[in-house]
Amino acid sequence: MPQGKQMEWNRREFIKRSLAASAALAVGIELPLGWSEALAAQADWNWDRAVCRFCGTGCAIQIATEGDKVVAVKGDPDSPVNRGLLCVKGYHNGSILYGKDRLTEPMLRMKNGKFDKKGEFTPVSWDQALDQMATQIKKVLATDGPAGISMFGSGQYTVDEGYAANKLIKAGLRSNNLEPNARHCMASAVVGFIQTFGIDEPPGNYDDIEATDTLVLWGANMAEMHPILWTRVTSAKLKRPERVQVVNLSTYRNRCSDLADLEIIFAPNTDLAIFNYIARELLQQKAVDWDFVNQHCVFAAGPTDIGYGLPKKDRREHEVILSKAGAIALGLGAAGAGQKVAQENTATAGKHWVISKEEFIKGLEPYDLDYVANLAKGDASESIENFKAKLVTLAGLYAEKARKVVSFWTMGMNQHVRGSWVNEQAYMVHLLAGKQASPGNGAFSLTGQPSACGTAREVGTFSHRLPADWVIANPAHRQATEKIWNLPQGTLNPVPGSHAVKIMRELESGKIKFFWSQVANPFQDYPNLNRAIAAARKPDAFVVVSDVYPTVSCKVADLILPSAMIFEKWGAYGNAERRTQHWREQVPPPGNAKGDTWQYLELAKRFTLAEVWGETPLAKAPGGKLPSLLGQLGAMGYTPEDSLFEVLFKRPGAAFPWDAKSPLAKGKRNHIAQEQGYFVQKALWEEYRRFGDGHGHDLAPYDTYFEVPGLRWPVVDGKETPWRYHQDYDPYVKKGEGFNFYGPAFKELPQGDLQGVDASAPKVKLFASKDAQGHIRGGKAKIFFRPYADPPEMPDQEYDLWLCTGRVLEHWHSGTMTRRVPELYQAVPNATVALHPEDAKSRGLKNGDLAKIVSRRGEVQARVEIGGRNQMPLGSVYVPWFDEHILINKLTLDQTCPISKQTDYKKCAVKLTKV
Amino acid sequence: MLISALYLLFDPKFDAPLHRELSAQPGLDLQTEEPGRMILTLEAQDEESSARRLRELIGLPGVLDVQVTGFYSEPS
Repeated sequence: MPQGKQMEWNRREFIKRSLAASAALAVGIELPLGWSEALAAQADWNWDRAVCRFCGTGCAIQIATEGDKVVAVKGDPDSPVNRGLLCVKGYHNGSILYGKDRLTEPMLRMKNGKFDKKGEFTPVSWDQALDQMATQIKKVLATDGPAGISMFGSGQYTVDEGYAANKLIKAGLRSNNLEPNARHCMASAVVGFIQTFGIDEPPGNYDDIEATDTLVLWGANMAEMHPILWTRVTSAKLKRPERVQVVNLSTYRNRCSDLADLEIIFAPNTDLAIFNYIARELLQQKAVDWDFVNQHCVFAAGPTDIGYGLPKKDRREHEVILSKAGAIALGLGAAGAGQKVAQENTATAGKHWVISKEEFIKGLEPYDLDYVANLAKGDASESIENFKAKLVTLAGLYAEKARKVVSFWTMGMNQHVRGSWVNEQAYMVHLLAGKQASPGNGAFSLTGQPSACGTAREVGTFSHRLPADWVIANPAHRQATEKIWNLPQGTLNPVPGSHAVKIMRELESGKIKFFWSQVANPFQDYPNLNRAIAAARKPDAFVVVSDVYPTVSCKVADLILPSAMIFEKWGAYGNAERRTQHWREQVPPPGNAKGDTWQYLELAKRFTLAEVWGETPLAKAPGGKLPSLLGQLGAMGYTPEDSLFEVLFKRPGAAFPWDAKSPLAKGKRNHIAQEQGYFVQKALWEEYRRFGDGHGHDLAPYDTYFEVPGLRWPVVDGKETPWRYHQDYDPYVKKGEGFNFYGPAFKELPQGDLQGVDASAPKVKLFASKDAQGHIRGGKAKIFFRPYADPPEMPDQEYDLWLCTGRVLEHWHSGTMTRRVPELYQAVPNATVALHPEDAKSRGLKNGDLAKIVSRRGEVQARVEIGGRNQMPLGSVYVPWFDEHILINKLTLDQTCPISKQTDYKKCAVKLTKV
Repeated sequence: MLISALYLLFDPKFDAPLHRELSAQPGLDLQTEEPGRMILTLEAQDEESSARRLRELIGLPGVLDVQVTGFYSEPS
């Protein structure tokens, strides 16, 4: 063999052996003799720990760089999350940086050397781009006030990006119209947590997978959406195949069914009824843990006439005609069918009150096996008796005293017109059974995005939130925020901003005129998309899109800003088990691309306090205006000529110099710190963590996170919290309390019955006392009764099929990154429409044919797929939304859960024809 | 050159036919194994075939799950 060939072979075998050795070590397979040398030799590669860019699992990765390029990626064997594994997307974390059409220069629509809405995209300098943005913002502030300004981010913001955005828009520009795409992703989960426990995010963690006996998936296709967690589920099942039971509840058959012991295909929206059936069975089978319930829980209910989050002019927001199923669900019996119910609580959908145990049991009465099975059976080819037997088995698993149960869900329950309710029902069942907040027991909301928890929720990049569960509407929270941010009193706008769907409606109506999108692709992911695209192109709208590749959103923008990608900046993400993980900048951004935080800071330099903190019109504020802050500036050491950058960012950052030679820097770059003159990310983190200290959201110092594979908050005295509310694991629970559901929100409630509040009854406190630090002792969780409700749009004679949208394993969200990785693109190049063979046959369609899919809002064409990964029951079709050439959201309905305002992308009515 | 390290979980009932199937596949090397699970490396010159091969592995009888644990690409 020639020497060159021999060396190549050796190198190849060495690389294989190295990667395999890492893998064996990660999964606990004994290393064959001699392999440890291969592992040791990897030390020569320039590895550093980082976090996967994609889903909410939060896998830690090791990245190797050579020069200025990422050359290798492997799962981090030290990570308690993925234990050295990565999914097919994860191992392309490096490749996503290198698409041929990366955006590298700002681009402005111009004609004759000036901005023109109808002009062509023209490369401009950053100064030109940012000056144009500042001009547009000042124009809108002068005419419309802060209500005319909006920003749209995502659950893919790094923590420092979301925090800086929050500061810039809410403190700097005094607008609360900041929303993440996470509103479309997990807002219902947030409401479920806040209303049930008084504090956001899951009590449990991923170790529940190995600790439990039963894994119940409620509309969560973990095999494709959380593949690494699915590997852990698979391993757990293989280790104890007789004891561990896996249940897959879904509206169609998916890959999870291959492993499942029990598959339940249910009709859309009827998960609401199935949960109530299980609760009723727990009562009937005397499987309720009354000691737990009496000591740690109360029962609650809320209004049922809450609409569907549709535009106000829609008739369904004013009146609903009950179907037979809907009438029975409300306890009216079949005779209630046809009754018209005025929707009187659309604006007050979230209010709730304490009810008695007897009222709760009364609410569940209609949900017997016959009613629920006939309502919920989702596969026409299945017999009702078979379906009933499955429901009985499912209820039995929850009821079995000695059996531990974990329920997982993601978008199937969150993107739901009753998403908040169905989240609360999951806790209802687990709390009744006493199977919550202990190892192997719990209802566990998984998240879709890498920092939906860490940034969108914990940092509070929602229109009604501030960091660490504080809210805009609470004067004490605003005041405390102003203190941490060193702002004049009254800086923060007291009127919560518009939620994501409302922002788009207001862009359409002209109430909002400035829209800035970052780390998202709103003009591909919004429902009822034709209207959103038209809104962006209205003459008086100015749309800015910060992005890494030319997306659909870029096409409708007026100004495009080139952003740095994940490993081209320092950052942190927080995953679904409350684990925060940081990483360093590994390679420089291409061309003139810059991190999003850099963009905020540079924009902030273009506003003086005199320009933004004077008296400002705001219709809903007291007196129709926000007060001038200029009189307070002198006492705070500010002048009217100071810039927002100086006051919001630079001065608080002065204590955090950037030192490229420090051990923390590890020889890595930090383009934002180097250009701004201080350690921007560390300064923002250290300020941010002050919000959570001492009230259940504690975080560790910045540097600590670079020494460990993440920490789960609250981090108290250097220790993370694996399970919250449990005396053995949570520092906020005292020994002897057993459990303490100490979340402070909604802990004092009126009383009533299923029909409403009893105004004559006093309010009740849902805790025993508060200690000297103000911490709740003896806090109680709520067990809600929530009825089944029909969705607003169901198949009928003309639009005769359910449409469900979602993701696929190979592509991340709108495909911006993954469609540029050749392997992933080739694996699944285009969206297809999955449907039942009989539905195809009756329309003259066969596999691969082009079909036209039409809803009342729009139409697209896609190739037919029969018998693929997703196997649809009769009457349902599935189309993923990653494909910019098949914009399925042109068809979806802008319906939301009325409480959480989260969009329901999982159900609307369509028809299908052969093209 | 693209090399992926794969962690494959399978039903032990399919041990023999699965080994036969895997040993016949070019560029695929069984590195180490225990009952029900194995570590493989997959070498591909072509980026497209890497993902296709992975999909095909997932579809083999007895295979319950395949995850990638490491990925190396030759720098250009």
